[in-house]
Amino acid sequence: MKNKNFKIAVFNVFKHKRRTFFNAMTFAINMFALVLLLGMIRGQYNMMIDKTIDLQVGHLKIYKKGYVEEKKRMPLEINISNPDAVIADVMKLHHVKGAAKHIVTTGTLSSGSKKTGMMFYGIDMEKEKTVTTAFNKVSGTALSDGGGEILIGNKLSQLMSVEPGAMLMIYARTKDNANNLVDAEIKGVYTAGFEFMEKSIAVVPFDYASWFLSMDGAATEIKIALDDKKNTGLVKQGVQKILSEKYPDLIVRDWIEEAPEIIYAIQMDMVTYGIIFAILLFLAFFIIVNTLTISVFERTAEIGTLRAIGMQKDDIRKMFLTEGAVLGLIGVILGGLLVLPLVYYMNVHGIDIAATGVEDIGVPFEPVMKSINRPVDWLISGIICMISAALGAWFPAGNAAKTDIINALKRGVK
Amino acid sequence: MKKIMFVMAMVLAAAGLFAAEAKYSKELANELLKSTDDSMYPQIFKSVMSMKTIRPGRKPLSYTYLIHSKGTDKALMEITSPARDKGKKILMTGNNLWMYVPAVSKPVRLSKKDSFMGSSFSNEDLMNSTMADDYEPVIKDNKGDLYLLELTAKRPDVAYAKIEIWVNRPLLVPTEASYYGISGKLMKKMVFDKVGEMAGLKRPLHMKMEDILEKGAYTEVDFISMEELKSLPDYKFDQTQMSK
Repeated sequence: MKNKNFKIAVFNVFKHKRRTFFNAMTFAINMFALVLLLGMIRGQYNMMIDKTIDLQVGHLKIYKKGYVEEKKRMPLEINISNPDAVIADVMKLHHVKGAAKHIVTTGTLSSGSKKTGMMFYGIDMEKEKTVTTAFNKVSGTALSDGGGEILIGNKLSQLMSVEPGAMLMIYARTKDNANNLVDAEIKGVYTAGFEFMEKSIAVVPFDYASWFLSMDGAATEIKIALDDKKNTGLVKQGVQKILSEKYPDLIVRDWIEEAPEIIYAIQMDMVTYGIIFAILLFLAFFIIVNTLTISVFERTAEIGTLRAIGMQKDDIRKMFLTEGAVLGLIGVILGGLLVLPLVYYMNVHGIDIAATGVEDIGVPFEPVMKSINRPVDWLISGIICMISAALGAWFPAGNAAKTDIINALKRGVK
Repeated sequence: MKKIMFVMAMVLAAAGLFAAEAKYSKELANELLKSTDDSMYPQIFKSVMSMKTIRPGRKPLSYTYLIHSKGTDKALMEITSPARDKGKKILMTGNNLWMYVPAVSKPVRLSKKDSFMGSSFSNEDLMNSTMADDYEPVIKDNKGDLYLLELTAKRPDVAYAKIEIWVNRPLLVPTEASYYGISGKLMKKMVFDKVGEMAGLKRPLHMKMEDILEKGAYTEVDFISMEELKSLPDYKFDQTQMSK
């Protein structure tokens, strides 16, 4: 009987071609949207993390104990006194791509006519290139090892109307909290693709920062870049071992600890995508309820006849449920295949979203938005579509099963 | 003959130096610095002060403050005008700075290096009023009654590495001060004028601080009244009492 029910259900699906087409398309569109969305979420999630790691937090960062608790005020007095020795030891670890020392502080940058609050990074340009791509795109020239030079972001250059060659004044507090003011020539303007950074972070040679902040060669942090973020935990253990053996007053933190706001932003995104998922599921559910209800209504006489020739209520219910599932399956296969070209394009090329002003937001963003799809996306989306098909068919199937035989047959007589 | 001339010249130069040293004695330098400190504020006082900040391309900022101060490490400043900012308070105790805004229940901690209410003064500029504790004075020059004091920071944690201050010796008040960073670069310039008697001493009642970082930006301070007090209770400078 089971096989018979299935055959009748499949027969009905293919008998009503137009209805089948629209129902299957509903599931196909859902499947299409879900696969695409899953890939985009994963792509965006990865891109945000990778960009944050690259431009801001690194895979790992080393600080002096006590610095993190006071990080908001960027204390220069809580510093790593021998950063070069620490870097040399860390570089011996497998999977470490690069390590660079920083002096990070706040202050004021002035062109004489305009001034603005800034974060200043003292960096060693050669080593910095191994831990970030932020200063790869520089108009003008790169920083040298020392001297009164500064790199500013593209956005700041526009806001202050200054270009390479212009002189700026840097006001900052020394490690001992004394005021200092120094001159620096703009050597270049960097474009990192992250407006917040380009507006509020200026970089100077490490030695120059060390001099005007009275740091005596000490750094406030060491940024470490790895070959792959999946090795973060492993390398962190290695760094911890080195620190506990040789530098017990230092600590290491990974990017998850360093960028909780990104994790929070991603969680918020997940909620948004969850809502979109639910809406899609809801739509599919209602469409299938609607079409199968109409189908039940249209086929009242047919149901009456089937009941009259001995088909049980349960068989009728199963037949309609099977119809829903077959429609869902056709839609899943169709949507899963139709989405392939777009998935390929989004995974390989992506869409350029630079013109949408996405760089203005407070998290690093790649101007080209790419998806990352995995085979499991088709499985997840397919299951979701099949669940919505089953749920959508459940109520009409119940109604069909409850149909009274006499009334159903009467309705068939015109 | 040339040798004799050279020796004589050296002797005269040395004598000139000694004379200058005698003319600008260490005691005089200390005395002028102390009088400069004294001319600014009494030990314990209550005062009304207006502050106006001009920044190119921006609306002028004007505030009137009621100040209560005790020693060099306790001061409470309450905004009395404009009406929209009335009731805001800034408390300075030791190295700590707090701002209380009536709409916000808890006082917010401020940084010493931040600008004081958008002015050309930093919070710290207004916190420390006794230069004699932090600087070693040397007289570098004089023009009539005006003496140029060069103040060198005694410790690396003092706000400015060097201050040059012109002092009117007969009036015992400062007339002009230049503040330098560790690099030796001029950071701020202040002019003191309108000398008048307030709280029993001659004091500069008007000050104008120029911001070197922003051409055309300055802040003017006028003391409207000042009253020396015998005492002020310590709880007045308690951060937990700011909302009262």
